[in-house]
Amino acid sequence: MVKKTVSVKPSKNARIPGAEGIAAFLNPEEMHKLSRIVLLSRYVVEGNLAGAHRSPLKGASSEFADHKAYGVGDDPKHIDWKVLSRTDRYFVKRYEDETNLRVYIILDRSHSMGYGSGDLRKFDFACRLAAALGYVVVKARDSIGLFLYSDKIDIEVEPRNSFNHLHNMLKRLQAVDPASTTNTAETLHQIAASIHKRALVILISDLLDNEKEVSLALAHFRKRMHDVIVFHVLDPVELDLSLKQPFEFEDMETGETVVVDPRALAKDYQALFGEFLEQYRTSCEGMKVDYRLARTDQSVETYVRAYLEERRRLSK
Amino acid sequence: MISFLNPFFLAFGATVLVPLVLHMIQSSKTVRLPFSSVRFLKLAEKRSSRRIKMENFLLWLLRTLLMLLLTLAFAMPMIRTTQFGKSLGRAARDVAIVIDASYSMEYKAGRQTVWQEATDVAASIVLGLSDRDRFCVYLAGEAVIPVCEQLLDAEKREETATRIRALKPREGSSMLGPALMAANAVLEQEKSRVEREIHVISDTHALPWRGFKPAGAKPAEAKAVPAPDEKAKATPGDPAEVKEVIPPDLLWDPSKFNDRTVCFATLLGSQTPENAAPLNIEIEPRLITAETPCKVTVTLGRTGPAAETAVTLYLDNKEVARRSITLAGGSKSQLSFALPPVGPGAHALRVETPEDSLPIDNAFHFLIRAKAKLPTLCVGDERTTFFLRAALGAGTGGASSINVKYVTPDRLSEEALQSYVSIFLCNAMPLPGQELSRLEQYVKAGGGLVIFPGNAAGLADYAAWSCLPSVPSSISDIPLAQRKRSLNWDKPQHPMLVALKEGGAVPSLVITRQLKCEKLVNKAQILVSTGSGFPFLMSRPVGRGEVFLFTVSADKSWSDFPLSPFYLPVLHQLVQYTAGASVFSPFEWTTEILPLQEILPEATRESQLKGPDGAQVSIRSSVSEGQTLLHAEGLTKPGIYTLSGPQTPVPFPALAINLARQESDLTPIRVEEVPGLLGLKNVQVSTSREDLFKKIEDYRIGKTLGEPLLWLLLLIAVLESFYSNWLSRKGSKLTDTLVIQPSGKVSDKAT
Repeated sequence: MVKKTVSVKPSKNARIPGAEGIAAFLNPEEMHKLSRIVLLSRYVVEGNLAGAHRSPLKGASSEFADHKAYGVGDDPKHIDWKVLSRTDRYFVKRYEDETNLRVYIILDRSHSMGYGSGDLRKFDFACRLAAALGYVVVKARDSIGLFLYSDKIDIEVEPRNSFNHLHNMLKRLQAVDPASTTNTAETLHQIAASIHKRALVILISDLLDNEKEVSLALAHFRKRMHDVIVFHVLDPVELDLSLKQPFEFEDMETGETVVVDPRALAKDYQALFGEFLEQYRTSCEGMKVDYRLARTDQSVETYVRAYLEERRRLSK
Repeated sequence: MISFLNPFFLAFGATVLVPLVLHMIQSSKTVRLPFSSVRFLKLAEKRSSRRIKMENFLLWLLRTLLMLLLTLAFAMPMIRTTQFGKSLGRAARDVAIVIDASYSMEYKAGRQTVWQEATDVAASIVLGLSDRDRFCVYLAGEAVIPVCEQLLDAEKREETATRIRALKPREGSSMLGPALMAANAVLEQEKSRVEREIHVISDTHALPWRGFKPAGAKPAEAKAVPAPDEKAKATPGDPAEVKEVIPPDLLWDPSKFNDRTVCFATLLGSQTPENAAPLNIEIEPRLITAETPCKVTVTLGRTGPAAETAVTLYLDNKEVARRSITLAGGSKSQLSFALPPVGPGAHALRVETPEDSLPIDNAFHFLIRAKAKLPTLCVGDERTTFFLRAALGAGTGGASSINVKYVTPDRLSEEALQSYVSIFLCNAMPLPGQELSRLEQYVKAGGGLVIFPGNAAGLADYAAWSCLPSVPSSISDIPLAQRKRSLNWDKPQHPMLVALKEGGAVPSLVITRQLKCEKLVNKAQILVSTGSGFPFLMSRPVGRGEVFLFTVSADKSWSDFPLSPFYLPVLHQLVQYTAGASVFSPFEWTTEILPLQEILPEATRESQLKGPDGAQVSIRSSVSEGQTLLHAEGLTKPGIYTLSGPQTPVPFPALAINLARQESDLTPIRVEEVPGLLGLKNVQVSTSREDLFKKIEDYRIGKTLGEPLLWLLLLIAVLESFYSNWLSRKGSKLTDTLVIQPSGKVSDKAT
């Protein structure tokens, strides 16, 4: 018997038709609203340019940080003469170095990100979210980079702080569709190993992988002192299983099928999915990873603004 | 043992597979939906598979049960076991059967009459009894007619069934109440039996159910039979005048019935019967003479919708007229025929309607006796009767002519008084007692007696009579100054005076001598009086005739009445009136016994009376108060009865007998009225044989489970509806459980 199949097609509202790059994901009004907010890192980061973010590197700067004993090779002009007069010992001054933020967006492009019950697929939402965050970052003269992954790293873009760079990055994203399976944990480990300088790492994924392994991967980032934000992108149907008739559900990555009546299963499904979410939330909280749930039925711009406002308040 | 009343519906038992098939079709028709990950679906399915299977199973069970109950309810299962029957009282029972024996049971409904069907049903009831049962059978006619008066054992079943099938209905009406009371009285004699049944089998006619009163009403009271004198003037055949002579112990009283007695009332025949019948006739004028035309007015009745009916009049078995009339249902209509002049003598007539489903009432028989002349006897001496004979002998021509015979009082005994329509006694008294008796008998038989006083009779001679309107108290000589008297018409509407117009000059007489009558006897009246209030002419009905008494003589010796201008018209009117008063009734109703002296005075003990079928009708005599009275017995067949005797060897039509017509109105009773009329606790009404026996079987042996199954079905349907709604109720959402802020931060509701 030939079964009827519901297909999942790219939604029309995902991108602005006919546009490329930034304009494909954000309209002028959204860009205007996003231009007034900044993305702050909660921790000190290393950067190249003089920016608003604290850098762990202590060098010539206007802000005194602390003393260290004078050693051969140190610049004598940094010797603190007052301490010498007090202690008859030679100490040099160390200064806070204010620098720009390096932001890496890690975007999941596995097949499961291709699911969407409403106007938007999860991948489309993730792309718009990445575009919004990227715009905020570049607007603040910070650097934005990209890792696009599925079961491996598919695209890697070094961080730059120009709009042109952002535009090209988003153009590359525009040409990509969800595909392949997921190997979030291993890929994250690879990415963590490749980022040497402290940065702000933003993971945008549905995290439909082994929770413990993904958590370990996130811990890897934290061990390297990166500030990590996890945007857990999910469709409302994935959360509630609010379907009204039996279906033969087909896994988009593995091809496995199961025939169930969502109405009968909803309660148990929600309990299990809730446990899944709770596991991530708890482990992220323990690692001081900023865990956020993003539903694809929300407005991206509104969501990003709310998030950044809260982040700014919490950073004071 | 379980049986099914509608086993055909068991074929629909396959519908119990419908829920299963629907489930399988549904399963095979699921749509494939790509989903991000089936991991949680599989886990959830694993976790809740048992619960889901149980829920699906319960739903399937409820729906299958629904279909099963629906099928069974329509198939109407019935539990029949001897044990079960015994628990319902299938013990030995006493059964009473009452069959309506009125002539309306001869109504033909289909291939057989209602009577044939009723007797067949009764016989079947008797034959269907078990060995320990007992029974009795009654017929309900105008009286209660026992067929088996006491309870018979079941071994008499066959014999009684044969007897029942051989029974015939009666030519009369019926009353079911007294028969049911009589049957119940028999059942009540045996107190030991618990199970009792009374079966009443009738047609759909409402008339037999008169006499029952709705529950709470007082029982009907017995009404007396009208006196014979009054009966002559009644118009029998009208249902409103049916004699209801019910003994007090048979008056309907439901409180005398045991609570456990069940009454099966079976109303057979058509629910919408149709019948047209002639109900009555009237002849005008009442006095018919030869060569005089007359008019016959027929009253017709119809039950059922309005229809055109042809009515045919036969005279001496020859058709003389036919007319059509549209008879409205439920009402009476009248149709008149002009009868051509007939020769003198008795003639048999009948009015017929076409053959229908109740043929017994389609013919109405009656007689007319056309007189050649009006024979009148004048008794008195020559001188006294001079004016009288002159007046009576002067023919008025026209409609009547008077044949006067004159005899002297001593020759009166030689005359056959019955052959005269009226007898004038002019100064004829005193008369021997025997003659007085003959004259009185003559009047009772319908004759008209006119008495003129005279000088020959004393007051005592008048006192010897028992039929005078008044016994004179004196014979007065009127003073000269008071002799001129005006006459007053005291009863101007009296049929005798109606034709005499008082208009014009007030009649007056010169009266020199007069009988003084102060007191009138019972039913006597003054027709004409003189100006001073003294009666001039009085009358008194006696039997079927009438006695007229003048207070002046027939000649000029007492007054100048014979010279007055209204002497002749009064005398002629008297003859006409008395001739008409003595007209015999054109017909009689069927009866078991009929006195003949008034109706058929020409009958003697030697006469032979034969019925319409030629069978001899018995004439018996009895003596009462010194008189020999004759009566005929068994006049129950409608038709013309002929009389012959030594003096009339050729049989002539003597009596026309008809069925009393109240049964011809077949207005049906409504079935739902019967239990209310009976007022008994347990009444089962059936309208067919099949329905009756089904009800008997249900009552005696088992009960259908159809209704309980339908109630159970309703309950299961409600349960299924609630359960499936509960299963598909909207549960809570995870997004409601988790508090997700606009910034994406997640926290539990509890926190």
